[in-house]
Amino acid sequence: MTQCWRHTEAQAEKQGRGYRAQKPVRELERRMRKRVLAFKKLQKMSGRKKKTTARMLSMSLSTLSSWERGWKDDCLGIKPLGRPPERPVQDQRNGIIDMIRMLWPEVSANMLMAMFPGVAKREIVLLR
Amino acid sequence: MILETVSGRKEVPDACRELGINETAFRALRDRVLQSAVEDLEPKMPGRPKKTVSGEQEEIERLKAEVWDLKSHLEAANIREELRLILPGVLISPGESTLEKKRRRRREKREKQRLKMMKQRPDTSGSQGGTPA
Repeated sequence: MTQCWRHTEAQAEKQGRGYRAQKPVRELERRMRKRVLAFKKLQKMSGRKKKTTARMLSMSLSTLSSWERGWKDDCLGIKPLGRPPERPVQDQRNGIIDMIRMLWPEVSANMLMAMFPGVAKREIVLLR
Repeated sequence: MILETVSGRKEVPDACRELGINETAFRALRDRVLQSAVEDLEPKMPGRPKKTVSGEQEEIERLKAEVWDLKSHLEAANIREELRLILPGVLISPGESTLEKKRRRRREKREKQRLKMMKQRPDTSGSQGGTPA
C-alpha cells in the first residue's frame, strides 16, 4: 500500500488538474477506509468493541462511525474535493504556449502569471 | 432373562441353567441391573455434563488467544502506518483533545506550505536568473 501510494502521488502529479488528477488519490483513500472497516469487522467478530478498535488504530470513534455510515450509504463512493478548476479559454492557452515557445528557456511561471493574470498558476506550471 | 425372572415368567434355576452360571452370580447380576435402573431414575442436573478441560488444552487455548491478539495488534500497527501516509488527518495521538488536534493540523499545514515554498524557490530563481534575449 505504501508503494502504491507513492506511485499514485507521482501519477496524480502528472495528471494535471481537476477530478482526473485527484481520482487515483481518492481511490486509494477509499481502499484505505475499506481496509480499516474490514479490520473493524474482524475485531467485532472476536468480541472487541468499536471503541477499542478505534483506539487500536489511533483514530477517533466518530471517524470510524462516519466511515461505516458512508459504507452503508454508498459504499464509500468517491467524491472530488475542492472547487472545479477554472480552465482558460483556448485562445488564452494558445497565447501562453506561444509565449513559452518564444521565451524558452528563460520563462518562469511567475513571469507568465504576470502576463496572464486570469490564469491559474497550476495551469501555467503544467503548460510549461 | 433377568426381567423374566422378576416378572415370574421364568424360574431362577432355569435362567441360571440357560446362562450357564450359578444362582449366587445370577442374583448378584440381577441386583446390579436393578440398582442401576433405579439410579438412572434419580433426579439429575439438566443438560449435558460439563466438559472437563485438561490443563494442556487450557494452555493451548490461552496461547491461541494470545497469538490472535498479537496478530491483531500487528495488523493495527500496519494500518496505522498506512493511515499516517494516506490519511494523516484521521490519526490522533492517545489523549489528544480536539483543540490539540486542530493546533496540530494547523502546524502541519504551515509546515507543508513552508516546504512547498522552499521547493518552488530554486525553480523560480533559476529561471529568472538569466536575462531574456
